[in-house]
Amino acid sequence: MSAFLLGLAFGVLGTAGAGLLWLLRREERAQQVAVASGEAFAAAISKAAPDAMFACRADGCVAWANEASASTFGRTPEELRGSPLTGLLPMFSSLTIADWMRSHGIRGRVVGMGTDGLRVDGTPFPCAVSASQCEVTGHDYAIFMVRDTSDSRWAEQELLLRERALESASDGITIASMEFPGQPVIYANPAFRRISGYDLDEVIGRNCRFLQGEDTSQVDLGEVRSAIREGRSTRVVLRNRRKDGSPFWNELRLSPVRRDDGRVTHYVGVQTDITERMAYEDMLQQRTERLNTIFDLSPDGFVAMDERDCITVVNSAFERMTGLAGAELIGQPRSHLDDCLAAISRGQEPLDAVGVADTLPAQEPQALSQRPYVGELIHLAAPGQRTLLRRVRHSRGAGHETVMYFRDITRELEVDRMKSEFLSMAAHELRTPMASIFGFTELLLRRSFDEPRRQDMLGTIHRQAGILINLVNELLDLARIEARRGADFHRRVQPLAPIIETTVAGILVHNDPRKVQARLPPQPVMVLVDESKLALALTNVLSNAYKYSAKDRDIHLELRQRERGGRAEVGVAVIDQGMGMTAEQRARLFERFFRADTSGNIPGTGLGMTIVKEIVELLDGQVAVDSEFGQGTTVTLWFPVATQPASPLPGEGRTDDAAVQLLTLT
Amino acid sequence: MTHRILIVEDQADIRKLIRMTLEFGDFELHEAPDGESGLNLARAVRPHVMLLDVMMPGLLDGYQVCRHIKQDPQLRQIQVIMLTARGQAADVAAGEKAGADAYLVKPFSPLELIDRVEAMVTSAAST
Repeated sequence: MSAFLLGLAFGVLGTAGAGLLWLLRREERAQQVAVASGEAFAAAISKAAPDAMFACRADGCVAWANEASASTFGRTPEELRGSPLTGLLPMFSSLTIADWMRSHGIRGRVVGMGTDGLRVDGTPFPCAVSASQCEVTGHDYAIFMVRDTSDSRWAEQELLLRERALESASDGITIASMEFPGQPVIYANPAFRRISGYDLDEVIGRNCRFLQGEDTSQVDLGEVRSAIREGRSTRVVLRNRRKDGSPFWNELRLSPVRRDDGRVTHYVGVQTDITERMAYEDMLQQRTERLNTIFDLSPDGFVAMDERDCITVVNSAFERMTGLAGAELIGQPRSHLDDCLAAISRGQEPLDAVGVADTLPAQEPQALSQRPYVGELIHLAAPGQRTLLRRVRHSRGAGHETVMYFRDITRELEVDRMKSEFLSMAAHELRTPMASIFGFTELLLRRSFDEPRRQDMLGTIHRQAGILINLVNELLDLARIEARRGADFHRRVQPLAPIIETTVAGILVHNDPRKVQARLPPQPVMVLVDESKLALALTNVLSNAYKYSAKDRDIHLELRQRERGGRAEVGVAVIDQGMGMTAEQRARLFERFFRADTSGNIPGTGLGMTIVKEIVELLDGQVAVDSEFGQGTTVTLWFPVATQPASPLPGEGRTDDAAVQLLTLT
Repeated sequence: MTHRILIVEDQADIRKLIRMTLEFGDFELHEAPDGESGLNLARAVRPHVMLLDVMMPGLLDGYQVCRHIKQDPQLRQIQVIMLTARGQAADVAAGEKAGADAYLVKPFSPLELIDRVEAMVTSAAST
């Protein structure tokens, strides 16, 4: 545009100059009219011109200046007249006009040279200077036209800035021209070269598809083609290849550039190498999969909620525990979960109310710092009678997630209760004989009694002390067996008969001369047992037979045989004809401290059968009890046979898995 | 006046202990081996003091017998001393809730027992 104006201005100037010369020549012929019209014309032009125009004498001073010079240089034409050129165009302080014309001019004309002009206050401003020489009234003049280029310079700077921005962007930027065949790339910034590995000259002029390498059939390429065809923006992820052949994931964003009439002239493409990001996303995906698997395999229930307290995840353990369906909970607010839980529970209490803390696994440091909150106990009524421990944890991360953790502690609570109950009972059982011992001894010490009474009291003390001793021994036995869980059992494969014989021979019951009638087969039966523990169990069983049957009733012992679960078993059966048990007593037989007879007539701790059961089960066996109230009791201790027993006697056959065979002496 | 004492305790030896202890005082002694017969005997005899064991077999345990006594207008003036081998705070609290007037933990000193009984009948007599 400026060239046009400049051309126009020069045309005008040329015309004005020509007009001046023509006026001067015609002066003699038609002075007044010619001069008048020429001067008026020139005056009009110089007044109206937007650029500064001034004439400079050979001595470097301004001879004449137009109106626009005032606004350009900040001085009136009158002030300009006679002022030095160097005050307007400082470049001439080191350069004469003549030299300047020679070096920059063509045939006496300089067009649009960029330099700085000076305003009246001394501030420089960018300008474009054009000049030519002429002669007026015998003197040489240089005619100058100065255009203030501050605005266009500013526009130039802006453009430069934008170009620098493109050059320094970290994403690859390309511009392709849509107006040339093949839509060649006309610009590619350094980042593009870095991402693709290609040099500038290998990119300019080519269509971007060279990045596809061999992969020309990707789905997203179709989208790119459609977008270009439709002249719209798009975003795709392509698998591209660098110059060295290595693949990378290219996130490509295309935007069209339109002319005023809507026609797309260029496409700007922004390329981002997202290979690393994809790798991270893969890793994240894998991590999530893994967590989900762990989550789902966990036996404890988990429910997670997002920052709006909406349920996001429910694992299968939670569904099993509560009978609630995860699919119905996801997306629901927490209040819905609370309602569902309330509907199936019979109560809730904070954890500290129950001393369960000891049975829980060691707390992590964060949990400790969160005290006093430890959790709640939720007592379920459905789908079964269960107690769940719930803990709620709020994540401190940006996600503001909440995770609820549920653990079924029904069994732990039960064990806890049983332990507590056992201790109470044990305390009671121990204190009862102590009450007699302590009480009677105190009376004996502090009061006088006659001899018969003294003897009676001493007898009581002695008897109760004996009970206490038994009790302490059995408690210790039981505690030890339970604590060690049979770890200190010395199991050996050995014949059963000698153990039985030794035990039977060693039985000594106070005031009871009966002997156990034992019938054992001649063939050895091998079992894998700890003989001292087996002896203890058998002693307890025999002891009961003595205690609960009359002295005129025999006690029998025999071996039995059966098949259970695909293996051969041998049973040591102790048969008495004593008082027997009711169904209720039979059910509670193995309960700690349970006594069938609580009259005090029959001594006992109530722990004997408990110990028998513990020992037999730790030896991989089973206790079977058969009893009829008033008739008698048979207790059979079953053990797996270590080797094949002798062949069954003739006349006996197996009828089914649970058939019981009697081995009898022939 | 000879005060009547009722001993309700299932363990024979302990009954004997208490009996022999209280024989040193001037008391009329009655005994029962379980809760039900103890309650019946209480109604029949109207003792001044009742020594009541907590853990007894049968339908009623000591707490229940105590509650019956204290809720019956004809029996509630009977002073109840509970005897137990369980001394946990929960058990004492249960005793208080049942309305027991005193609580002794086994093994107890028999002489302390007789002192308590003496004190009880004395204070009851003076009211």
